[in-house]
Parts: sequence; structure tokens; C-alpha cells
Amino acid sequence: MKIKSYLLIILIVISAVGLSVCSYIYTPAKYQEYSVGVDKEPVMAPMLKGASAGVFPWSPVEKQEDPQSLAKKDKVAETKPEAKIEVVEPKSFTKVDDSYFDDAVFIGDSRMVGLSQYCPEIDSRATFFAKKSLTIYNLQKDAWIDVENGPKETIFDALSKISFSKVYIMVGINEIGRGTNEGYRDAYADVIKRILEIQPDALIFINSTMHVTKEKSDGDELYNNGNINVRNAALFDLIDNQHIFYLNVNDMLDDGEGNLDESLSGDGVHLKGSCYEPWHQYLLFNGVVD
Amino acid sequence: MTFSDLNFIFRAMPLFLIIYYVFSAKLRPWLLVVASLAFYVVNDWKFVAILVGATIVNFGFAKLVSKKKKVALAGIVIFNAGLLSFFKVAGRLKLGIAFPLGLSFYIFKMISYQVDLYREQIKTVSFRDMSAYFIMFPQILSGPISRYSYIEDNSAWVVAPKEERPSKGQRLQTVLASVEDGLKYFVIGLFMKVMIADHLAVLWSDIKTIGYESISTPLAWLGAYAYSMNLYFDFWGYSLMAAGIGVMLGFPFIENFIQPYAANSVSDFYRRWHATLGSWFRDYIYIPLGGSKKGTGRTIFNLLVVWLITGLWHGMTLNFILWAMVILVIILVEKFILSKWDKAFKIIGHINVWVLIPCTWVIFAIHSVRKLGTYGLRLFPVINNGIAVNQNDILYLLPSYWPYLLMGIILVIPFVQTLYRKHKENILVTLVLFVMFWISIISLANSAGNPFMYLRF
Repeated sequence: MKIKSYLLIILIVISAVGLSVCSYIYTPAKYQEYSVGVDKEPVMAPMLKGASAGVFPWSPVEKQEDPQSLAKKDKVAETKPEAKIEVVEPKSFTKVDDSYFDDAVFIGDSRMVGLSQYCPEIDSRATFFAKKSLTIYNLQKDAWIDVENGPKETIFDALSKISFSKVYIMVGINEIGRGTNEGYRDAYADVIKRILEIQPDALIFINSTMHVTKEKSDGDELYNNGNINVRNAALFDLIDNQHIFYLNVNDMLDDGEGNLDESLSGDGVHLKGSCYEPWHQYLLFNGVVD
Repeated sequence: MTFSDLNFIFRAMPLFLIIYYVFSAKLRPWLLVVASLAFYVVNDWKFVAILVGATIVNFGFAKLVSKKKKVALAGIVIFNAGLLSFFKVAGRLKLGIAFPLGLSFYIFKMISYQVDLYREQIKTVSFRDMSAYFIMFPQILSGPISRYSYIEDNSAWVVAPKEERPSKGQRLQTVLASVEDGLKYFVIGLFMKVMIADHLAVLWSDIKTIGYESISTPLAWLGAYAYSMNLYFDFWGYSLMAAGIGVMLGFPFIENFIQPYAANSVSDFYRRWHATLGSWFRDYIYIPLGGSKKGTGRTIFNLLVVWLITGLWHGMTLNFILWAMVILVIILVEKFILSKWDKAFKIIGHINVWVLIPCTWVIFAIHSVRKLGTYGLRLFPVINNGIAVNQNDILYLLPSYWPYLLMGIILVIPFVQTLYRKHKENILVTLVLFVMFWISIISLANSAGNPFMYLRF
């Protein structure tokens, strides 16, 4: 019997068994979050998913912060504002023109990519750091910004190299189904805090995560407007109307029933190339001037 | 559960192969019938009764048809065609009746079976073999539409006389050789589907996201070619997986795509594209109508009937009729005008395949005639209908998709297939297939079999 004649079967069987054993051993410690259960997928699947996300059997386990110490931290954070006695008048929104975006930075996922590609009025003036599939967690931790002739850098490294006084952020759709609302809010708070450390006088505009159309929302267990609204609401307590503002872009883009207007979207999730003007106009009507 | 489902690849298929080969050759057809019914139930249990019912009715008629009863043949053909038409029309009229899984494919096989029986190309009526032919899971979802001889040629079902029976070792070698051979086809098909077709489907989806009125003309053309490749590798990949499973079970290899983009005309293209469907239309509609032997007018009429049915079979919307009629016109022009200039036809025929065919796929892809008009004007901007067009849009998309486009272009070249066939026993080729297998599996594990899971926002 020539092994060469059955080499592919042998290789596939051996590798599949090997990967299944490894996955079985390491899933409890490393791949639990990638597992949907052996009744739904082969044993090796969690490890394959984990490995694609950069988690290998030999990768160090990220230390989870002790829930008690987290609770303590929250308590400290909660008590801090009570110490403040100063009452500050909230800044209000006002109409601005396109020159307002000259010193603005736009950060976000594919929806923000769309704004950069189909709103030349803003794109020609502002700086965009936007990428398809970006999440608040990538923003917080990853080096994802391409640098010519060099390794990728974090958003904070990129921001420290430029001057800016306004930051517009829109993420949130890719995070749905991932992590908790509190985790999402905390990651957002951390990103804002670190941006303000770079530029303390910057105005941060949190753009609400844009809704999806009714058809998409009704037919999708994950990416629906109920889940989007919960995530948007989780950010409300970050707003101070001094440095951090909330722009509910859905006010301008919804159909009146809380869904993205069908006529504005080709896929139910993104604005069509010809439909970025309402968002642009909304931003023009919601500037903040000292 | 489809062929590109991890549970199928790592659980159902290996388990079935072991059971299938543990049992004797005599029992294997029954095992295939039982497994195919289970496969159908898992995918679409609501309509299994239609499949079983149609199989029993066809068996009843087959007894009469085998006795050359023309009325019985007419009756069963009307029954089969009526069943297919009912579900097609019900879907179009939005009566809330879903379309049974694989109906188009098993009905075509049923018609083929009855006609071949009447023509005495099938000698005996066997319920076991007939039901295995109709129901077999490798072909139930989307073909290929094999003929009954496919069943008769299964080497694993041959019961050899006792004295001629090979030893256990020899039998094991034969089985492993079949599985290895089929597995290779399966891996290539899986890679085509998962790594090329599914990724290019996302590029096409990106174009829809932008909106046809806002795409530049270069992007419109890129879209037409990307969709053409998506369709080709999706269906060719699926067909190779189906054929590969068949080979693993002892059936001969069935070729459904015979290098269509190497065709020298659109007529030739459709002899090579989904070849089992094309030959079905030729043998059971075109030739019975008289083919091209009854004068020019009749030939045109026969082609019109064939292409009208082809269009309606693909979908009951206007764009499919339009798609079929455009192809018909091109074929008629090739057949009656261009063929008179031999040298020019050689060049124009290839241009038709490489330029007109991708344009016809756009008609196939876009169901709304209004949107089709918009896309058409982006392809051929005789009137500027663009709104907020970003002229650099192609540059934004190409960096993400060029590897899949390049792989597609390479695999379209006929030389690559010839090279594979020549060296498929080479260890290096086997190792490449092994790598292709795991790349596809990793991609599948991350997308859970849904190509649009790549579509992060």
C-alpha cells in the first residue's frame, strides 16, 4: 500500500485529531469565549476561532481584574463627583460652517469610513482615523493605524502627533453581542480619558451608533435597533456637556419609528454614498463654540 | 447543513463514509437513500413528504412508462413539470408557500429518468436505484443534474461473484483510493467556495452598500467581474464538492463546469457552464422540439423556448427573462451572422465571453429593473446618472479584495486545471491541497458558514 496514494486522507485525519485534542484540552482555559458548545460545532472549532484572533495555546492568559477591586474602583469613581461643588453651565449646540472641521478628527468604523469617502466637505478639512470593523476595544488596545514605512500605531500615538481640538467618534455596531454594556461604556470612558490626556481642551462628540433599517432590525437577532439603543443609552453618563457631548445622529436619519430610513441605505446598515448629507448637516447644526 | 458546514465535514461525512463502506455493496444504495433522507430532513424537514411522494408517484408511472405507454409518459412529465411550476408560481405570487429544497433539481432528474426509460436507455425499473438517483444527498441541494447512468456506473455497488472477489486488503485500497480522489475534488471546491466566492460576495455587497447611483464606472466594471467570479466559483466550487462526495462513494466524476471562460462563443460558453443543466435542456426540450434540423425559423423558435424556460427556471422576475433574452439574442447573432466570418468570429466570440457575459451576469444579479438601469448607466455612462460619485472608490476597495480577485483570475486560466490534472498525484500538490483545506476550515470556523459574517461594519 503506497502511503503517497492516501496522503491527503492521512494528513487531514491526523491534523484534525490533533487539533481536536488540543482544543479539548485548552478550551476551558483559553477558548471558552469562542465556544458555542460541542453539540453545535466540532471540538476543534473554538481553537481555530481563537487562533484567528491571536489566542494560541501558548499565549499568556490575560489576568481578569478581581470583581471586588473593580467594585471598589467604581465606588471611588462614584464618590468623586460628590466632592465637586462647582456648578458649571452646560455648553449649548450652535450652527457652524465647514471650517469648523478644520481642526477636527473623526474616528470610527465603516460608517465613518463612508463619511470620509462620500462627504468631501468634511473629508477635505478634517483628519479621519476610520476602519471597517473597528470597535471601541480596538480603539482602546490595538495598534491599527497604518504608518508609512513603519509598524502600525495606536490612535493615541497618532493623535499625539497632530493638533486637534474636536474629536468625533462613531463606533458601536461591531461590538453588539460582544462584552457587556458596562464593559462597552468603560472602554468608551477610557478612550475619552486618554484622548483628553493628550489634548485636555478638546471637545469630544460621541456620535450615537447609527440605527439599522426596519427590515434589517426585524430580521437580525444581533444587529437590531433594540440592542443599538441599549448600547447608546449606556454612554449617557459620560456626557458632561463641557468637554464631552452626545450627538444623536439617529434624530436626522431615522424614519420616524426609530429605524434607519430605508431610502438612505442599500444594505440596511450603512448610508448609501449619496445619503451622507443629512449627517453632514446635523454636524453643522450641532457645533459647540466657546 | 450544507457541504461547507463544519459539522458535515468533520462529523456527518466521515461517519457516513465509515458506515457506507463497512456494509456490503448490496446495502450501500439503501444506505445512501436513508442518509439522503436524513440529510434532507435536517435541511428542510417540512418538504420531505413532497420528495418522498414525488418519488413514489414516479415509481408508479415508471412501471407503465417502461412498457412504452406514451400516455403514462405524458402524464408523469405533466405531473413533474406541474409540481415545479406550482411552487415557482406560488413563490412569485407570494402565497406564503416556501419553495422545497432542491425541487428544481430532483424534478429535472425525474423527467430525465422517465424519458430515458421510455427511450429504453434505462433497461429495468428498480425502486432502490431510482430513489437513490432522485434523492442522493450529494446532488439534492443544487445538482449537478446527473443522468441515471451515473447510478449504474457506481463501482462500489458492484457485487462481484464470490470467486472473483478481491481480498480485504485490496478492497481497502480501492476504497481509500476513491476517498482520496474524491477528497481532492472536495478540497478544491471548498477552497473555491469559501476563499474566493464568499469573499467576492462581500465585494458585491459593498457595491450595493454604496448604492449603484454612487459608484464610479471603473467600480461598476470591477463589480461586474467580481460578481461573475463570485457566481462561477460559488457554483463550480459547490459542483466540485458534490462531485467529490460522489467519487468518495464510488460514483464516476461528474463535470459541471468545463472551463467556460475558455469558450470561443456564448453558445460554447453555455455548453460548458452548468453543463449538466445545458445538456438536460438540449436532450429533453431542444432536440424533441426539432433542434436545428427544421429550418431557421423553427431553430429560432426552439431556442426561444429553451431560453425562456431557462430564464423562468432561474427566477420568476423580469430580470431573469431579460437575462435569458439577451443571451438568446447574442447566440442568434453568433449563429446566424457572426459565424459567416470565421476569422472575425474567433476574436469576437472570445470578446463576447469576456465582456458580454459579465454584463449579462449583472442583469442576473439585480432583480429591480430600475436599479438595473442605474447600474447599466454606470457601466456605460452615456448619460451621467451618478450622484455623489467618489472617483477613487475602486482604490478603496481593491486593497481588501485583490488577493481573492487574483486567485479567481488564476483559477479561470485553463492551464491551471490542466496542470493540476497532470500532477494531481504529486506530493507537493497534495501538500498544497492540505494547506488549502485548513485555510478554508479556519475561514469557515470564523464565519460559521455564513459568508456575510466577513461583512463586519
